[in-house]
Amino acid sequence: MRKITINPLTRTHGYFSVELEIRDGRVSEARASGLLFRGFEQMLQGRAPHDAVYLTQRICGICSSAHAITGAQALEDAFRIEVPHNGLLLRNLMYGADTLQNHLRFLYLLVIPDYISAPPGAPGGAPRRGDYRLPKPVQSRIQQHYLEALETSGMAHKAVAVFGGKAPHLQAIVAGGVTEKVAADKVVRFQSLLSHLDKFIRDKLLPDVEDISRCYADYFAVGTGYGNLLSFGQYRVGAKGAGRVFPAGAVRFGQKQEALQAGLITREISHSWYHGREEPLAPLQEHSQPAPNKQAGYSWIQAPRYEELPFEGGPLARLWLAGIYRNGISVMDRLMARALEAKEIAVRMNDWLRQLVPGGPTINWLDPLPASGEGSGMSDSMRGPLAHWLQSENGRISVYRIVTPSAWNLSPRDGQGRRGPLEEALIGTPVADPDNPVEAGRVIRSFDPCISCAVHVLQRDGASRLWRQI
Amino acid sequence: MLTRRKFLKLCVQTTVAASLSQLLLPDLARALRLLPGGKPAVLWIEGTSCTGNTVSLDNSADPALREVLEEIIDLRYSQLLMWPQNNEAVQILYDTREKQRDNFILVVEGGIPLGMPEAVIIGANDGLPLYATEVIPWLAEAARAVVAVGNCAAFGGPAKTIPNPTGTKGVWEVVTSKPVINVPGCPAHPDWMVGTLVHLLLYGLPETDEFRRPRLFFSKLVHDLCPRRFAFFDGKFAQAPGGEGCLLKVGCKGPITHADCPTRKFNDGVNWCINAGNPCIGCAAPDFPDGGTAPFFARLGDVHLPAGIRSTAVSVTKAVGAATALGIGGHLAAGFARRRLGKNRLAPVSAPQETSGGKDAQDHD
Repeated sequence: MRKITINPLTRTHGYFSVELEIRDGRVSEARASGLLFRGFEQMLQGRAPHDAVYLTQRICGICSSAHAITGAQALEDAFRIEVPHNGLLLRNLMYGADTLQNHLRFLYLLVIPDYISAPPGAPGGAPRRGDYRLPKPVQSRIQQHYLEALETSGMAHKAVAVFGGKAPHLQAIVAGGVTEKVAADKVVRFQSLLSHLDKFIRDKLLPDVEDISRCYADYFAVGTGYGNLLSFGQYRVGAKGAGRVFPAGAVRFGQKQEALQAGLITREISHSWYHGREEPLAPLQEHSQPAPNKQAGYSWIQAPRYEELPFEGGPLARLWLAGIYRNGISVMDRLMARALEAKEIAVRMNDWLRQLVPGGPTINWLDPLPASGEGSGMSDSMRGPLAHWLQSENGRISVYRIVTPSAWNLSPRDGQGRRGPLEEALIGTPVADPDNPVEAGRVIRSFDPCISCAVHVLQRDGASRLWRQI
Repeated sequence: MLTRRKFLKLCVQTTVAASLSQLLLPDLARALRLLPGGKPAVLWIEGTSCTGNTVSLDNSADPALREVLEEIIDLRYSQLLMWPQNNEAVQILYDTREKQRDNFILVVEGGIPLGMPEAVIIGANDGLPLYATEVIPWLAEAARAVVAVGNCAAFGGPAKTIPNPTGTKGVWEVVTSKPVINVPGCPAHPDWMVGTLVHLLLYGLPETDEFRRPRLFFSKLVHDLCPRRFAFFDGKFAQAPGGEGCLLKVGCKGPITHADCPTRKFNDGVNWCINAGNPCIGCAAPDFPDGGTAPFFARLGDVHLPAGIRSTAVSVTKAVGAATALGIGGHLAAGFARRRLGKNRLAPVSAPQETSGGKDAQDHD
């Protein structure tokens, strides 16, 4: 048996490390550690409720629209605010464009370097070793697309900004709707950016991911994990936004789809660096404090569970629940689902653009808000299920709780010792060279880890090794 | 040759039609080729960060990040973008520090969690953690220059939001070996980052203000450049976000925020906050998101702090914030005097409430 640690695991949002035990060439044990803590839930306490929509976006620079929309929904739920139809459509358009931005950046900038050799100018230079199997012409084509994706992903953020003001950290989403207006010039500009993105997705992204999946077909059997899938539902449509394009629901491995019951969501801290009650608790009941020296802890990420079980979220869960893609659950299925979802969203976005009513209302502004309230916002973001809970008293936030997709996916063990979904997915992964565990990197990145989001490993058990040369 | 004068002119002109580096790039590439050692190595290290500034840099339009990487810098280290991982990544830090001493540029994104070093562990060496609180000053000492991008690195920003759970501070409060250049904003505009880097490479340290912000981009108030300033003078005030008119009454912090957003705009010039109907929340201001910038939708001067909080941000910020707010009062009074404020005139804005405590009243240091 050999123990290895990958730290830093680069090409993730925020600092992350993974400790693996390797037995007979396969991963036999895994611990995933989020290494970034800022404490947003503490910061939100005492603030004006409207501030949450802007401040929670600062959790994450890649999925800011997700926090904006989910935070706004929590306020709308708490204070009974209805968003005009135009406002819902604009939110969907921004959410969609931000998701395309995320998927392009994720697949090209973070994932593809695991499968192709580095083009000149690649940040950090070329890794010393790799497992590159693509035929040379395909490889150089994808290298070219890597460089193009640096620009095209910015175009997706430009589309977000058409209605959002700026991206990341958009300004136009507030509780009650969207402050930007529906005007012909903006619609046309958005449409034009969307058609470029759509073309890139169809002509480049999908063929590239398909080529990779053919040459790395063994990864359809790697990184399978529990097979429990969860979605909170994404893109509100229909009267009063009651419907969802991607439905909410849960699937336990091999079983039938169930309707989502928000009351079954808990989180716990038994293996996380927090002090507090250790049993599974409903998020609003949980009041833990950071404790970086906790002996049993190995991550800043807490452990969300659904009916006390670990579930994974993301494009694969959404497409599975929507009945669009049900090939399997693995590294390659996660990548395929993400690429297919990008195509699917672009189609829907064209529909939403057509439904917009120029000059129609986009916002129902309510200020001051009622002095007290309690509510939740639930949505599925780029990486999976995202929920915000809020309680306010005397016009100030008294409790704010956030459970992010990366907390679902990257969580450490729970009180019953059950691994988080990523940890479970790593078990059984073949590792040919423990000094260069590329296989594990592929499994980990298939979840699109975002530690900035997840936290909202290491024991500090000695002097830093900064001064010692490697 | 690209003279400093021409460069500065290009930087402020960008807003007209083309972006900063569309105009700049040909000259720049030539100039950089002439520099001894060619493209300089850049180490981009994150502290208490959301990675939003890396993402914003990747949104750079002209030049696109691709051109930045091909023509301007040699990005050796970035948690988000770098190809190598694990020991190979950490080795790059040591190698660059040693072999490129006084040549490489250190860019920091995110604040430094002085009160809780365990909050940010950027990697490990020989199984032991590398804390951002130690790595950043260690690299800064050997760097040619240190650039803090985004409000968290510059001033602590959202990571330092009351009650500042990690005891985060801005880089310039921690790094003493080098003058730190602050490029705030949440996120920083790509032009601000690229423009500052280029100035540094070609002409050395840019001229900065008392907050070490390059004057090139941060010398004017959002309010002074705002296209809705005429509405302000005419006394036309929006009553809700999304409304027509000046957004002062719904919380605009443009009068205390220095940045050229109104003319530069964001995401390739496609839009910006006030144009999208929302008040400026002061995301480039030194005390964002507390102090004079909070609550975001409260009219300036109407500052409420959570109970039990003694102080807000860097003490110097308070003084400047108060002075600026007094300036608004004066500015409005001048408006009255000139009879430019119409029927809907508003009462003069009062200065933000002074919070108790003097210079040393910072919390959670």
